[in-house]
Amino acid sequence: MNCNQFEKYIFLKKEGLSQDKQSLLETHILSCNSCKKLLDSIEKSGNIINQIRQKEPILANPGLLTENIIRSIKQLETTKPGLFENLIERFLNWFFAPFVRPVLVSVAVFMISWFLYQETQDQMQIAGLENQLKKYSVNEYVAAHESQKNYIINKAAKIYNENNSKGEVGYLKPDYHLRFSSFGQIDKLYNFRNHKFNFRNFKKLTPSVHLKLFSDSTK
Amino acid sequence: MVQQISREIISRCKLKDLVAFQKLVEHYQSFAYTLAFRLVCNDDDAKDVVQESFIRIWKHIPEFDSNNQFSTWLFKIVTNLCYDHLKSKKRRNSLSIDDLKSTAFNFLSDKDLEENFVNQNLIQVIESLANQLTPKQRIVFILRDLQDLETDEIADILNMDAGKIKSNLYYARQNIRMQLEKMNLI
Repeated sequence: MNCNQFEKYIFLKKEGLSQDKQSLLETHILSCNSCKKLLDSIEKSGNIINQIRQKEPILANPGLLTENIIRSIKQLETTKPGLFENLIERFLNWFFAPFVRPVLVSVAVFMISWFLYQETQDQMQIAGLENQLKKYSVNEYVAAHESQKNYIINKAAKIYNENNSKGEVGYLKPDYHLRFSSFGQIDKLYNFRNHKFNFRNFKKLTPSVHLKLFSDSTK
Repeated sequence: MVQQISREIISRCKLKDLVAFQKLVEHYQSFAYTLAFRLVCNDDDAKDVVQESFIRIWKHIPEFDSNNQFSTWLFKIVTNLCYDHLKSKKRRNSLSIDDLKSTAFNFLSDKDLEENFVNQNLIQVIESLANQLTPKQRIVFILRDLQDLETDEIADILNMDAGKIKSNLYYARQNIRMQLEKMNLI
């Protein structure tokens, strides 16, 4: 063991050392002048700290402090909050408790980042689609992509048969839906059918609505 | 050593008996003040901390487990309030080493200092020794070396394990020894 390790023993001697450590330290002190000096100075500083401990601060007029405390408590009791305020206070106490704060901040940061990421992705996707849609009228586009249309019809019909018992309420215009799905988005729109939840797509339409609108547009 | 108050008083306080609570305040306020004063090194701030601590105790005393020591709970509340205070207030030491040395020397050698003088000099002495410490080191040093509490009790008060307390204590004592050396007191 070197002097650095003994230094810790010396500073924490007051806390009590195990017998092994104590005898190791005693043996080391006999042969090491610098550690012996350190031990002496720690003992001297311990004496000074003891002297400081003896000089307790003096509380001038303790009666006044008691009076102030009791007065504040009486005031508190007269303005005691009702049950509702009490619940709010308890909630706020809990909400602002030091151990909850970092968790709340982390969750908030994660949610904001996730929302911004989703928004950006979605905006980029929609902007791309809209740019492409500007080039065609619906009929031109459908005519130019007859094979895709057939693919969609077949797939939609298949899914429709599987889901014919579901209720159908839609808000997307059939032609817009057709444009949208014609751009190869159909697989994305169906992702949630395969339990791959996609919040933005789910908001746009449900599978049964999708099928109904699609079959309407192809009548 | 803090003399514990009777269980009966605590039980009455739990039932929101203000007379019993006044007895509790009278019994413990000087202990709370001594700790708060040593930690924040300011008379008014220490009194504010004591007042706020007893208000908190009044609010939460029905939840206090009578099997635990009341003084530990009180010290925990006082220490937490002082810790917030220490973190929010940037302490400064405007005295030179020579001034500090003479204050410390007079303070330690004179046994009949007047009340105001004791508090004023005590502030300077504690500040001069503990000014360089982090709030945690300062609290551990004061609880252990000035309040003379056992490591277990400090662990309870600070919700810290004994290893961390010893490590804070080690750095605090190392620093204080350096300060004392600078003042040629050791």
